[in-house]
Amino acid sequence: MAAKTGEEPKGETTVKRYVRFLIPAVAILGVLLAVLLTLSDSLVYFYTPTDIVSGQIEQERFRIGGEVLEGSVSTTDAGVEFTVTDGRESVGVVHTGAPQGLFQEGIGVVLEGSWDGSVFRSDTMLVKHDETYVADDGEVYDYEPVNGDQ
Amino acid sequence: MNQSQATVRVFRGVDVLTVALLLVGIVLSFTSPPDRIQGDLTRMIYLHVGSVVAAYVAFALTALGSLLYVITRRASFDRLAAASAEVGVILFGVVIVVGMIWGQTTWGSFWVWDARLTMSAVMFFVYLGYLALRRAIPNPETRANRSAVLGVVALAMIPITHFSVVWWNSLHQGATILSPASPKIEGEMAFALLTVMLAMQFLLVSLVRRRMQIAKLEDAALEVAVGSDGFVAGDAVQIPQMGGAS
Repeated sequence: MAAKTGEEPKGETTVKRYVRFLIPAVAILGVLLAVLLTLSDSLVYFYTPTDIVSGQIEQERFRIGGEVLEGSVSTTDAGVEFTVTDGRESVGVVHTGAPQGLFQEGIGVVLEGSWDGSVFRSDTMLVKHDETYVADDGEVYDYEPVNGDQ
Repeated sequence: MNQSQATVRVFRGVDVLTVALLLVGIVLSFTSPPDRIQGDLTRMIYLHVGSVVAAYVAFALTALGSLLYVITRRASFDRLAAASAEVGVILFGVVIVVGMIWGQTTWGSFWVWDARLTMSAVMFFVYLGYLALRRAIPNPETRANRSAVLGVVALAMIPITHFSVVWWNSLHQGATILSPASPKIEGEMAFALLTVMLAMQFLLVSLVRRRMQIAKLEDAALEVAVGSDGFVAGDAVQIPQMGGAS
């Protein structure tokens, strides 16, 4: 077993060995951190209704996420209309196309489309299920609405 | 002699427990109640989360083995790092495949580039890179030293991936079992999930130990065949020749 590690190179001390380990390790971690900080903004998958209302979104087309407000869903010829909330602000959504299978009141959704100043016109819908798992008998543990800003 | 017989017995016990727990876990996965919203689709959580926790532990073992190799220079720690990285990559592959099926059936998409999925993809390729690095260095000592650096640094991907759902808005839901708050899961489902998670830990130990044994035999055979210098990956591949191989 000892043979597999080979002979110690001449003059190499333990300290030298640790330095040879630490320098590349710190260098790689530095690069990783730099990449993460650079990517940070683009890693945000969706904005929240609060972001829209505060007018800080510059893109023409973007995604918003939030919870479908109870009692706000109505079916139209082209799709569905409903209100999405992050618990603080709400925006009206006009969705074109068939809603996702699990779409229902109270569920989280991520929508892709554009904001025309009064409603969000979406054409792509993803359902965002939360981290709560409950049985049909309604046994619930700490159910909290999905908060866009959490 | 006695010591190694005791070790064999312990690991045989691990193997038996692995099979038993996996069987119980499979039964519980299908007898636990369906989720109120997702219905039976929620059963994918058992394999998905069970595998990811085992994969995280495997990658942690890679870092531990790497660190211990740097300190002690014992080849067995290098083999621990390599073996658990291989097992971890396979487990993480399972996580990604099951997750994609789950995503298609609940979100409506196999893949989205949200923070969690992006970081998972990065982590998967970092560890594939680790395995590729090991293949690229013929000298055992150089290989062990260099892969130890990556084996330790790559561990940073675990917190980045795990907390990505907290740091950035993502489509992927937050943590259920490993969340700081109390578990948000119904009791029977939680029991099934914890059973599968435990089974996957035993599976991990079982597989890593086997892979380490094989690696030890490989190392010994290689030394007999070519001495301690080893060989370059791809050595056996012949470059195509004009006019056919001679």
